[in-house]
Amino acid sequence: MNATVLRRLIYSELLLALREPWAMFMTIVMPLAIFLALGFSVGNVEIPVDRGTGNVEMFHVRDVLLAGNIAWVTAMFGIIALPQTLVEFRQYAIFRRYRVTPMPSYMLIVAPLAVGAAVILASLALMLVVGWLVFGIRFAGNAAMVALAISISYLAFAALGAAITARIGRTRTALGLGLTLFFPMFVLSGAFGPREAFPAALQLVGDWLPLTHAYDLHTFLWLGASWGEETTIGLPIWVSFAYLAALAGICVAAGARLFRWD
Amino acid sequence: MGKLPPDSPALQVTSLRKVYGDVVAVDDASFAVERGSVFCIIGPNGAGKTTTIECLEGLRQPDSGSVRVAGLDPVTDRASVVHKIGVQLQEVGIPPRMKAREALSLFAALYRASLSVAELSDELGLAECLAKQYGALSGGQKRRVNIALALVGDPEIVFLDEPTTGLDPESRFRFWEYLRRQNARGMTIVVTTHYLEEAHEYCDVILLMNEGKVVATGPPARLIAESGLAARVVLPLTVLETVGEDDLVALPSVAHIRSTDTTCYVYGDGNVVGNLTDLLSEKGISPGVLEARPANLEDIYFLAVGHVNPRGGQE
Repeated sequence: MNATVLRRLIYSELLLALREPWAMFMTIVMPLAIFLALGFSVGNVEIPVDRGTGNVEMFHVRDVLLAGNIAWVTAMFGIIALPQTLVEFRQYAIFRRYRVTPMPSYMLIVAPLAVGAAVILASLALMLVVGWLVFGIRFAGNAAMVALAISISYLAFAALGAAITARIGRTRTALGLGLTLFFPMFVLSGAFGPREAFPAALQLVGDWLPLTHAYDLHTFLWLGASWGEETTIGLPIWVSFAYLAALAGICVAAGARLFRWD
Repeated sequence: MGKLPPDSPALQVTSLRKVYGDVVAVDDASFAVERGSVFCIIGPNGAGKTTTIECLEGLRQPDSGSVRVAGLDPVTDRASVVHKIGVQLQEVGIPPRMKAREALSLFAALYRASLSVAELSDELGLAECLAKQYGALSGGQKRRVNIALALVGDPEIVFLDEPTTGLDPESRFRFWEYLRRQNARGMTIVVTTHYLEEAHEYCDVILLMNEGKVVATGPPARLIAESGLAARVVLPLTVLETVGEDDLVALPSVAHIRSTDTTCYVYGDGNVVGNLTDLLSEKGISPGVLEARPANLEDIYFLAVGHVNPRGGQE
């Protein structure tokens, strides 16, 4: 019975998400628009990749745009869209309403997460198809590793978003907080443009931001880098993975402590 | 709808106490609700009605005392209790963009057995609302959707917190008629309301709360009978001033007097009308039209609560 209930709830949440044009625009249309804009403007800039074998393999910026975009899409969903749903549950007493029904509480977290995963996958699939058709983008990584990287990014940002809004009772407050966190991260992570263009102090700040780690993790794995390879942060890729996993763990623990149903 | 164990009341509340900061919301409340009854909690705002119901629903943990729903603790036995109860909260409880039909279908899927969404919608006059988003519904329509959500799981016990507030007279009538039919099938109904005539007409047992305490409980007719009141007489205030309050109170049939700026209300037993008429006649006072009616639940309520006269004056 629980599986049926969860399916019904996910379906309901998906319908609600589709009725929110702003969220759909930000997570589906905007990433594709940025992907196309950057692809046409700087897509041909070459990225030489030396794996230490003596052979330098040549990629282009357009090849990693999708991987980078998915990093900030997961951040946007985790920090902005998911908290909107959870805070709305609190604001409109929906958590309370379900607590007096046989609905298991965990489903109220799992269903929006599943909807988010579906939206992120849809965004990825759309960029993949358009990127392949328009730019002929290349993928040199291991699909399972990239999927793992996207998953840990999503979990980390979703946990962060849920934790920081665990006691917020108004969607407007949550939106303000989410935007305040997201846009500096977006700019300083490299998703907005090369990090090298920023002063050293801002680059240092960027080194500590989770989106920078997600961005490097996705793009380096997309190009087939090994876990020990250094990213723009100057640390091996596995450190970025561990950083995001630790962030997810800490935020889940903090969120569980702080979370208010009412 | 399942069956409760035959030896237990539907609800049992024993010495319930719930405090919010310095405010004692419920103070040593005890009562039982028999299976298959329509039980109504009345009382002024802040009397503790909603807190009592929320303790029974498992939404709040009592500070002391105990509550049992079908013999179960609604907090520790939540998994079992939620299958037995249906709840209508005063708050919203539904995403504004969710359509009424989607909400009803989702809630129906939560329960082992459920009522037909189409039939329920028809009975409560919701057919025209089903395709609309909840946020776009009128206040009365939202209220009816919430009532339907409480009933769709075909619960053994349903809690309805001020269900008819904001409903038009026809909707209220349809609601009560439908509820009585569900009650005839065995559903125990617990309701709070500020509409005392509804409480009197449709409910088997009334629980009157004030300032967190249980003031009176019993069938409406018994509450009135036990109060000793049989009638209420309305006099112009000028008559009271002429007769003198002391003489009026001295009448053996008069139990209570309340007055406003213009009017005097005299409550008493079955002889009050005759005694008053005799007294006025003795004093040569003609009050014009003497308005009298049998005592009702509203009189019991105001005498028990004892604050402000709903018609504008102080007791």
